[in-house]
Amino acid sequence: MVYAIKNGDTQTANERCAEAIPILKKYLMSTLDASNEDAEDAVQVMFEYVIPKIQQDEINSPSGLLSYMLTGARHSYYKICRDFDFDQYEEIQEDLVSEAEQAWNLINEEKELILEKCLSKLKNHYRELIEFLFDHPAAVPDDIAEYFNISLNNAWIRKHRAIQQLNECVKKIF
Amino acid sequence: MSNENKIEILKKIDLFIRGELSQGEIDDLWKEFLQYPEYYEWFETELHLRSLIRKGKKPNFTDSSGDSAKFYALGGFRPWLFAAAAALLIAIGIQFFSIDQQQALQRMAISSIEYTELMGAEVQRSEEEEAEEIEIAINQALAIAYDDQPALAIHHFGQILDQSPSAYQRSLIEMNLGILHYNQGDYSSAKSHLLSITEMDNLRSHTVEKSWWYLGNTYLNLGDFAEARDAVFKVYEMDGRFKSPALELLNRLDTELGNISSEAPAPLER
Repeated sequence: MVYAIKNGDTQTANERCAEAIPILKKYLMSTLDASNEDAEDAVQVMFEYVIPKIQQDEINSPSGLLSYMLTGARHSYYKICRDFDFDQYEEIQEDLVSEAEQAWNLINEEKELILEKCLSKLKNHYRELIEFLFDHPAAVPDDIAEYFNISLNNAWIRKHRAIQQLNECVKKIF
Repeated sequence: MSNENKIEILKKIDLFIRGELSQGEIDDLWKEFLQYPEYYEWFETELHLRSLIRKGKKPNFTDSSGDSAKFYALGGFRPWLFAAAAALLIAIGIQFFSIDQQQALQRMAISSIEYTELMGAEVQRSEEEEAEEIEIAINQALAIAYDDQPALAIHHFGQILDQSPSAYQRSLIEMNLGILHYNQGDYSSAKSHLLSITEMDNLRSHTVEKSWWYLGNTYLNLGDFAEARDAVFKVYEMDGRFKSPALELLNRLDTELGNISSEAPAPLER
């Protein structure tokens, strides 16, 4: 994105922004418990701020940009809340979503329903793996390796391939 | 992207969902998501899977007909319809197999695998003494198998597997264990080892082909005929050493299965 913006490649820059926007929104929704609308506004404001910074050579590296986007999105969100309601802003500062619960804010019921159907399409050892996980909710990859008599490395790979298959299925439908 | 890198990301995702990452580590993970949006998709799918597991919403794997109707209504994605129809046909077909038919199908599998198919390690002098030791141990276990002591050879190969062999070494061990278990009639264990090879990256194509071929035969012995056909079809497509027997087996399978099509078309249908 840095190079695209600097070189005036608007199409590539737009594509990179389009990829980043939903992820940044989810970041705000999970870490700060932001609503969908506030998260969208905050990300938009962040981009309006960050693009001139890149053009002015204040952000040079991709890694710097990534940090800047996360921090910028957070600060934009704080600003939206502060402008709207100072009390709410203070609450956010004091009450970030606890780390243990962050991810669960992102559950989407419709996606869950589709995934449920995709799960029933799994075949062979991927199905066996999923059945095992449902039967042993606390299982970790070491348990998978031991149960299926495979190496720990292969347990991770098998799980990853099952996730990939499910991901493809969900993407086709969602 | 190597399997090692994928596993690293998966581990971080796993820790994130379990709530075991610090805020700094969480931000680092989100940076990875921003850089590689595909990782974010993996995370989201894993998260929703965990949510279903938390809620105990185990899918009904046996009831494909009722579910599939609702499934397609949701997305309206047409190719799934064909896949489901094929899966349903196979399911119905297999349900009505007589014991004689099942036995006829299982008899199509090779009865045993020649020990010459066992794979030895090419021991090379290397700076890594441990790697060299593992390769020597593989060949020692192989010698035990040749000495007609399969159970002892299985024991030795199992021990080597626990010594963190390289991917290449692991492929040899898993193949040998698959073959030895097959010849012992322990098809469930054979399946597990042969499947492991099919999941590994960067192996020589003849090793991958060989694993699919023996896996197909293992499935036949286990009575998993649809999986057997898929595996054998992969062998046929790989166009290697086992192409001829794979084609012959496919034709015999399709005849016995009554030309029931699976998700993969028969070679003669192409």
